[in-house]
Amino acid sequence: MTSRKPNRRQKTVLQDVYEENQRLLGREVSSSGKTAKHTGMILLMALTIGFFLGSPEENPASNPASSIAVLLSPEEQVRASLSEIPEEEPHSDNPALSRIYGLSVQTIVIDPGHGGHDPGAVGQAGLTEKTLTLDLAFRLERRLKAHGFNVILTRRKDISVSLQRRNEIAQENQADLFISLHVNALPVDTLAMIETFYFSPRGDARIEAIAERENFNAGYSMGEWQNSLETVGQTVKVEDSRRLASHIQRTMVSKMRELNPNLADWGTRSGPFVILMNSNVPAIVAEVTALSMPEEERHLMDIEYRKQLALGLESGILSYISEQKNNSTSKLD
Amino acid sequence: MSNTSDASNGVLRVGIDLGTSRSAIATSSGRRRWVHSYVGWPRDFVARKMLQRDVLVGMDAIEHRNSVNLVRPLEYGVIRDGTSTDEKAVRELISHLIELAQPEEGQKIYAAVGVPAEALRVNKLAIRNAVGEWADTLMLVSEPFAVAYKLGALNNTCIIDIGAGTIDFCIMHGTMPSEEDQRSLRTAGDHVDQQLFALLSERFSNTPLSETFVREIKEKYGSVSEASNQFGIKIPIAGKFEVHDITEEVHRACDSLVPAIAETLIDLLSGYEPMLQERVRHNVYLAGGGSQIHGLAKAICSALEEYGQFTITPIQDPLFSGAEGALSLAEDMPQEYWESM
Repeated sequence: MTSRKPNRRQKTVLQDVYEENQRLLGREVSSSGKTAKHTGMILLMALTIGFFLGSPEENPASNPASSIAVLLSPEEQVRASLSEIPEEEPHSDNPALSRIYGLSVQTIVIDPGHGGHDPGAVGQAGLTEKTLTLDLAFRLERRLKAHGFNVILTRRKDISVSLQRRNEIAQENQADLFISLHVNALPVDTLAMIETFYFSPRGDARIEAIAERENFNAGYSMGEWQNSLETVGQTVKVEDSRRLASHIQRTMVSKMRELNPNLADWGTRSGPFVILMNSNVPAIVAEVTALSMPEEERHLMDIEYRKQLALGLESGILSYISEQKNNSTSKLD
Repeated sequence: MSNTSDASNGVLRVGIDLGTSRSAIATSSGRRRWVHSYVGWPRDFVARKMLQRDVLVGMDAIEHRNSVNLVRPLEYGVIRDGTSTDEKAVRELISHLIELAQPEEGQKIYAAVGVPAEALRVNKLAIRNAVGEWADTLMLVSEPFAVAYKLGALNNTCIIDIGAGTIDFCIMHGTMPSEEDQRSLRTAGDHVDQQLFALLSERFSNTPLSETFVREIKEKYGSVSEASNQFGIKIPIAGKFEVHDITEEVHRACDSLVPAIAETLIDLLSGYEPMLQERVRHNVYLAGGGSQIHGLAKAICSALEEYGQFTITPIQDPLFSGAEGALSLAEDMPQEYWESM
């Protein structure tokens, strides 16, 4: 065996590897890299105290709202909360940007996917994509309105709206951004992920399968579809859409992993989504998680979890707008 | 750092690459071995009697797939379901690899194990438990990080590890990569196999093709359209073997990786400051079995043309680069770190 001495950079990463593995074992690592031997004891004490005191969230008896909620199905619980979505504080890091800077983005169209006879993905406990996307759309609408944006929803109740009509709503209202909200479903029930799409005429087989599902109820004839595909390159703002998707993906992953570290980050991809095809403004489809995973479906029944999803979307949109503003300012300079 | 007196101290340091499709081991005693990441248990007592063993690993398990319950534990880049079967399969795989390393009796095993990035994030404890049974002390790292360590590419680089279950991206900037520096894509080698299987099955609809056969074609001829090579294979049509040109089908299947890799690389890179982006784009390495697809690096560069020039290099010896990288980590890791693990 050869004997060689690691250089300074290698020493740094070796220490990183060691500390990361110590954390994996549940050992606390001090700044000097030494582990705290008493961590296990502290954890044990905390768990013991927690066991005897109990947690208000886990004890329905101490929370009247949850004792009522258990009588309702998951779908009914989320539906019931739709009319009770409170005014939410705007994200504290981002005060009313549109008013302060006079940004070019004034109108944001939010498109809650599916609706009416089209439930979209359905979880094992019966929670539907159409109800979740509407809940999220309302939450996001209030957050964005608090920043001074004009926010339009393509549907405000459980009705069927064709994709063509959704596009028309965006155009009629002179949207500056178009955000279509969806929840994924996978053939396996062990994974949930965040994935954000922008338009391209082709995607790989998996993305085309997702697009096919989301393209249900398109409302376009074959002729119109062909025509749109031929002219798509002239209208769709691909690069802007990619950047918007990238901002939303990044903030969604960061915010959601605070609550669920196991959510996978499947990144930003392009695919043939009809809803994005005729948009002449930055437009994305956000697949915010997957309903096919029972554990994730349980998370989605929690209002705090859905609030966090809306916060992630809001942060991504604001981050994109802020970058646009900075870019246009630096060009002027 | 590495210790020349390891042998006399009764320590064997090993680097293991626990992959979705293949797993490899490299040892401080100079051994290098690999196996297919398959584990099989006899289906019933008849199969057990015929096979004369309780568990089969690697090619042995694949060859007897009709007699065993065959498991590929890291099929999607993670331990599926967190089921006990898959955890058991990881244990068997590790046990087999360590057996191949031929430690001397009583010798302690210090193992550094590279696993798919997503598995490290989701299943770290399960993998640790599975490996821990066979090693006296161990450290887990992500596969692309192990490759970066082997290459000495620890700063301003990007490793794209194209495996069977996932493609793992990892940006290195002088420290151990955090979650934000890594990304996993599920459009990987298995996806190419599925595409190729569908295309060939459509063309040769009267000839039953097996997944193993299609995977062998990909591994032998895998190339993208940009490679502009041609090849044919012998396929039995109505019992008679004929040579057919399958270049187009192979190109189409392999091409499907390119947009996914290009988009993800741009997406991941765009989160870094411009100076680092500029440096990284000239130090991109393709690792893993998929890196051997002919013309892939060039095709990715072409797909990224509108974003400027990229320099993408397929690494040498992808089968063992992860295991060798993990071994380098195991050898360089100070003794006191090992002792406190």
